[in-house]
This record gives sequence, C-alpha cells and structure tokens, in this order.
Amino acid sequence: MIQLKSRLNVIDNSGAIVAECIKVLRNAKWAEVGDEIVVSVKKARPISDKTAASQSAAKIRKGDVRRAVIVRTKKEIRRPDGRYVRFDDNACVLLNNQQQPLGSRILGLVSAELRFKNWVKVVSLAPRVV
Amino acid sequence: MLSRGIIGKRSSSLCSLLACRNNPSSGQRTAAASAAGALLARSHFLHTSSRTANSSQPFIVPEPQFEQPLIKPEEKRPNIMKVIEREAIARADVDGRSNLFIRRAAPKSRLCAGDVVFVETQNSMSDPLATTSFTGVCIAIYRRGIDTSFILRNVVQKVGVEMRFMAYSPLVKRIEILQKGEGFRRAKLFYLRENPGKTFQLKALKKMAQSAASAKKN
Repeated sequence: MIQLKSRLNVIDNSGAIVAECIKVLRNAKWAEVGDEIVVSVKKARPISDKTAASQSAAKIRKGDVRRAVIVRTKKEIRRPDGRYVRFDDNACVLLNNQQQPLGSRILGLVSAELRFKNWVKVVSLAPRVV
Repeated sequence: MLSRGIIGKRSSSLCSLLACRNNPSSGQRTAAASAAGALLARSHFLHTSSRTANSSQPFIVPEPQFEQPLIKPEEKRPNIMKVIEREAIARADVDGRSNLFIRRAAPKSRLCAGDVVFVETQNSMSDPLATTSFTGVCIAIYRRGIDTSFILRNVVQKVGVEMRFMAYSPLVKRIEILQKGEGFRRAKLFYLRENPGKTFQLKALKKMAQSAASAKKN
C-alpha cells in the first residue's frame, strides 16, 4: 500500500538508497507489489569516479525523479491460493523510461508477484524470489 | 412433486440430519425411508404449493461423502453448522494435519506458537510437482475450523518475511514441525518483529529444512 509520500528502500545498484513515491501510475490511491510508481530520490550514494567516467552506468543523484517498480511491501499481499506474504520493509527497483531496470544488479529478495505482472527482467536479476 | 426428485437419489447428510431431528432412531432406517422422513421434515420449511408448479425443474442433490452425518453419540440436538464444519475438516484433512490444530492434543504433536515449521505448497492445482517450500517460526495460529491458518516468520537475506498459510488448503501439501519452540509464553509472538533475540539465528535449521525438503522428493 504505497502512496504519495511513502518512502521505499531502493534495492538495486543504481546508487539511490531511499526513494519517495510522488505518483502512483494507476488510477488508484495505493500501489502494491508489481505496480509502477514515480519516485523522487531522497538519499543516494555519492557518485564514485568510476561511475562518473562510465557512459553506461546510471548516475542517480539526490533529487532525481525516476520511475520505479515496487518489489516488497510491508502490507500483506494475497496470493490466489489464500496465502499471504508480508515483508519487513517497502522496497523498489528504479526503472528507465523503457521499463527496464536502471541498475545491473538487485540486492535482496523480491516478491513472486512480479512474475505474474510480467517484470521478467527484475525477477531474473533478483537473487531470491519469495 | 418434490418426492420424485428426492427419492431415487441418496439423501444428503443435511436431509438425514433433518430426519434425525424428527426421528432419533433413523440410524436403522433405509435410505428411502429416511428420504421420506427428510421430505416430511422439509415440508415444514418449504411452501409445497409453489413447488408443484416447478416440479419439472431438476434440482441437484449432492452426493453425500459421509453415509451418516458426523454427529457424536452424546449430541442429542446437534448444531448443524458445527456438523458441517466437522465434515468439511474431515474432507480436507487428508494427512492428519488437523491433529496439529487441536487445542487439547499432546504438546509434542500440537502446533504451538514458537515452533519451527516447514511447509510445502503446490504452486497450482494443474502441476502437483511444482512446489515451493517455506520454513519459519510460527508466530500466530488462528483456529477457525476449516479456515484455520497460521503465520510463519523467517529472515531471508536479511529481510523478514512472513507467510500466512491456510491449513486445510489442498495446495498445502505438507506441514511439518522441525523443532518445538521453548520458552515462548504467548499465543501470538508479534513482538519478534521488533525483538527477535536469538530466534532467527538457527543455522542448523536451514540444514533441517533442506533435508526435509529433499526427504519427500526421494
């Protein structure tokens, strides 16, 4: 149940650490796992010299506005077989305008809901899917 | 009339129950006789005059799974909903997992808050071999008859994950207690979310979970 002003942990290696939701890209107030949102980066890792020099690495600074997909929520998600899954935090992965992950790696586990919502690349990059 | 519909098919357990209420000795009756009794019992509740017009419409009498309703001998006026609940659990309880949820069972065989539990679930009814397993500490049990559920908590890759399983779901293949919990003095262990202590630092349990997972495959 992520809405305007919700803070999420960013769990890829794009450089952002904390992002704040500024828009839910659905005609709804809340976003769940697998929904796309627009975020503003609130905390980011300082850009190393290597990243500054590289052409392909994403340079995320504090204050950047990007799209993201929610991968974990603290609000329980209902699976069709009656199971409920809940994680201890809200987390997202930053995306570019073509809905591809900005970072090259995902650090941490993601929810299996992403598979059903066709986030194939994110699921394949994730080290663990629950 | 109604009779053409009912007699000739076995009466459902509900019909027999209604018959039982009126005639305590219905256990010795034949199926047809108890159906007639059920018809009499039903006529108390239904407006037969309106039904004669609809006699041509077929209605479905479900095949009973239990010959006699699951009424205990000491229950003189059984509560219908309790009997239905009992039958539903008996139908869903294929591997004896209802013994985990009986409050008065022996402490070793009962599922308590604080036990480490391994659950194996089928992902869909279409493929019985595609399974997912989850191990965790049971932090809550909701005993609601057929809707009994329990929550397992585990820390996976430094993130706490909680999963709530419906105990009698046909997709839940196996529920096993890997280790009984000790020293948990509550029924709901939600405090473990903030103060886990040493509860989730059990590396030996990872091995147990893996062996439990592979044991059934072999």
